[in-house]
Amino acid sequence: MKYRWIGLIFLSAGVGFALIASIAFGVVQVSVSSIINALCSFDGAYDQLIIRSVRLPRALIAAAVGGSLAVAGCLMQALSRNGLAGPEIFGVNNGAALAVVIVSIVLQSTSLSVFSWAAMAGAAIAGATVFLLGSIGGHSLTPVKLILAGATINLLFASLTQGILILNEQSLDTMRFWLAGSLTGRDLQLFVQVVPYMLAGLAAAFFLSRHMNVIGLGEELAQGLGQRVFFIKVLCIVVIVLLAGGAVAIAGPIAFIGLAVPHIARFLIGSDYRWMIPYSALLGALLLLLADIGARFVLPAQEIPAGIVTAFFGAPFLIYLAQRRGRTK
Amino acid sequence: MLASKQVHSLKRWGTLSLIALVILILSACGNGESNKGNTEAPAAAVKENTPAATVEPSTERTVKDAYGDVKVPANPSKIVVLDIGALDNLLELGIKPIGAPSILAAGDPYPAYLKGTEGIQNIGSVNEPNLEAIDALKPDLIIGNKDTHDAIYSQLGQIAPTVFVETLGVTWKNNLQLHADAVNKSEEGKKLLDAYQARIDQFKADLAGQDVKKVSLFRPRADKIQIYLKDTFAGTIMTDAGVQRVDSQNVEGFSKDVTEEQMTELDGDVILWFNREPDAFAKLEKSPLWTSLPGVQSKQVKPVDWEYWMSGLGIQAVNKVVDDLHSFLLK
Repeated sequence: MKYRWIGLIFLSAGVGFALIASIAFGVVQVSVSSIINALCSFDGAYDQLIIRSVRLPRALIAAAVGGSLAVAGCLMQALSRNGLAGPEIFGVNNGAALAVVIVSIVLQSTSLSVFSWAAMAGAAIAGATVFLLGSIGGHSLTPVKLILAGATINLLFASLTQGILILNEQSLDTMRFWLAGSLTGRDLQLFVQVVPYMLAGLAAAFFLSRHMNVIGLGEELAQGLGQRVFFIKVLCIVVIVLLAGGAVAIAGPIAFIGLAVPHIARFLIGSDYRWMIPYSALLGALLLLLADIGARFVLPAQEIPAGIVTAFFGAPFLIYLAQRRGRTK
Repeated sequence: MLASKQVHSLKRWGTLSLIALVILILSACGNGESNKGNTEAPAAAVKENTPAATVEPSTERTVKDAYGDVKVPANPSKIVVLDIGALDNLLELGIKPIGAPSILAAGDPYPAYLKGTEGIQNIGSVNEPNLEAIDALKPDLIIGNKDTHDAIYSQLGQIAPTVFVETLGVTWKNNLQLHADAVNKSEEGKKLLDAYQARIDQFKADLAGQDVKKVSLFRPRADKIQIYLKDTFAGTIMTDAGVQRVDSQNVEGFSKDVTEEQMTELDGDVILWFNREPDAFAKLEKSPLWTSLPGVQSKQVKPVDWEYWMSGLGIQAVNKVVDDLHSFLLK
């Protein structure tokens, strides 16, 4: 029990350090004194402006997006009882991408705030569609149904997005950066608009964690223990859409955080969701902060989208997971 | 029981209608495209039937292009161009091509700075010319560039003789000469270049008498800011004109990407920018880092037209760029 608390404190400290590192390191070198001045006695100097208008928002966004994605992944894996599930299974990312692509063509806009609202709406529509498809028929919202419905909708939206982009070459050019998932150039204002949804999602996730343990025991058992399984599942889906939708709205579709982090959390503290969810939140924040710092230094004098960094490290992890599952069986 | 059955079938109908909706959307997308293609082809065919009969097979000339010697009609009259540089040059030489591409998406209007483009058939986009549309025009000469159209070079050769320049942009002077040569107007081409040289010499002399103003040129994009260096179309004209670039931009190369943190590199005594993405500059402008730049504070920011600063690539675009430089740098 105790070591879990200690671990949590260590992780929080880690996130704190990563936040500071994210503010301190970038393409432009900034002195420590500028950082302190920017935060304590701001006087409008260029270096301090960098800290306040670029680095600080970016660090906060990375932490919030990483945490949200990881918690959404946690819930998704519990709900589908499948360790290879992520928020992507709900079609959230591709729903958001499709909405953004359509809106950018219709409105002829590349404004990030327009993209955010489109992404949110797209994520919600995708989530609702998967929910509807998964609840049709006798046993509703069973893990298999959810995964099948999710995978189908996900692929459908992905192919629609690709189709539209191929027909419209110009938008392919402008959309590439968004579709890769990136934390560059995000506006603090935008973040402030989206963050309430994420916070509500996080709070609800903590509330749900106890019930997730019960759901993990299986449908019949959970029902036998007096749980309103259907209600909890619906709530779960809403929370996933809030968290993953909020994340995709700010940063675009960032892959693998939602898949990988719950496994790291499970490895650290076991499969009690009351611990897994806070651990996942912190680990997700930490991982995306580190990935984003990495994104600034992988190529000299050029930034690559953070989503590419997470995918790069996430893919081998996914292979490892699939392998390991195969062996235990 | 009955009620549950009804609900069940209701749900089934819901699923079916969802699927139907998706199919409808998909097919609607497909139709939109194919219709567009259909309306273009017959129009082209109708137009071309009449003059085709009047063209006499006259003697041939030999032109040396990026692939070697090529035989072209002595006086080609039905020319298809595959890029805007050739369109621009040919129009200035007094020749209206019968087919030309749009810069970005097929069917987009030709650049506004080019006059006399009415009646030119659209043949797709620069990157994706439509071979069927070109074939339907029955051209007697096709002008393209190896850089973009190498992959379809042999197919184009089956339609008509082709004259390809090596690449676009920095080589604009050679391109103009080759374009002029291809249409048997070498003298006119040379005159245009001489006129440019005289004008630029005058500009240089006028500029030398003034305080040095260092120029910054960049293109804000959705995810980054692209600084245009010396080896660009606009960069070569500025070099010719003796225009000084900002120190960090006074380097060889095509372009350099910077992030919003590096905005000091955008500063200059005169700050020029162009973009294709409508919101990219609006976003940049909102940044407090941008407003902190001295050049921005002294209101020396000038938007320039991307159609000729970036994508024109012919002699008319060159002269428009020089016009702009005149108004920004000379009093």
